[in-house]
Amino acid sequence: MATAEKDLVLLAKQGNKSAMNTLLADNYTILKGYILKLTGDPETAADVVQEAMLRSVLNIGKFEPRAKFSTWLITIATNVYRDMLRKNKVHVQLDENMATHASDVEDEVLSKISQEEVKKTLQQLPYEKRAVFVLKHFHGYKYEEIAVILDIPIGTVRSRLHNAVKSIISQLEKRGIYYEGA
Amino acid sequence: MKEHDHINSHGRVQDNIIDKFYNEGYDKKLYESCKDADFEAKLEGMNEALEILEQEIPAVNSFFDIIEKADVINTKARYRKENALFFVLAGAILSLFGYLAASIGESFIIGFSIFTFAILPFSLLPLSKAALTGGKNNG
Repeated sequence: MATAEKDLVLLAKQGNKSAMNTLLADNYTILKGYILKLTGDPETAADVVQEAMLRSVLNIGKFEPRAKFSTWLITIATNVYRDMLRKNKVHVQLDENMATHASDVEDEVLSKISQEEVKKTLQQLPYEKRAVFVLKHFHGYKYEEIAVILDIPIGTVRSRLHNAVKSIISQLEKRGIYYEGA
Repeated sequence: MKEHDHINSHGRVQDNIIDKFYNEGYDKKLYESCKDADFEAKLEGMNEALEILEQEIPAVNSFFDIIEKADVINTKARYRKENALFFVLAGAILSLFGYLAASIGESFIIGFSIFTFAILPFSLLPLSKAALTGGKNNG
């Protein structure tokens, strides 16, 4: 963990609200990106992010600065989402307000359709495989780190990733949004 | 049986390619000896297709509301803990007092009352001073 982050964690543990605010602000993007991809729904993602950040503030005293703060936040958020799935509190809906950089209306519509298809592909994966895939593909965590975050053996991480990737490729092919010639 | 073995080894080759793609430890010998260019191209294609999900995060600058909410929850929890401790201690002291009064008799109640009134000025005066000055010694 970087020294600056270590210092911030130390200050936050002592009750420094400004340090806590900086920690949350610095890690908000990575947390929200992860949860958005995991849930596929901005409303659910917002709830999970809010709850995860609240729990992190409440439990900052228990945080051991061996891992990165973002890894700890992601672990909390994963647990929050898993709890929500168990309690069936998840909104079954795909979002309408994701930003695109399409240059004209036609491109924007096509991009929107592709985006929805890709999101559906990701959402069709079971939660366990989706979590592994999102952590690996979008956030570049090592197998060992994912095993710690999700509290599963490394072998399970590896096999879930392999299955997830094969399933996504097959789904993308079925949906006709697979980009050839990459 | 042969076909089954073929599927298994094909799966192993693809798993190895996935490990390499994600910069994890992989079997170099297997990778060199069993190429699957089609699957590698599909992996790149998947990577490209998923890039579409990379831009979707609205920025939030202040998290003080969450920190304040956590403060309120912490304060409530602390009050609940302190209240519980107070009632447990009060109950324990009253029970002990009742037990001693019942076993020793009324001489204990009289003795306790005298002792309490005797030490009251010595405990209350410093406590009052500390409460008024906020614990600072102004000489």
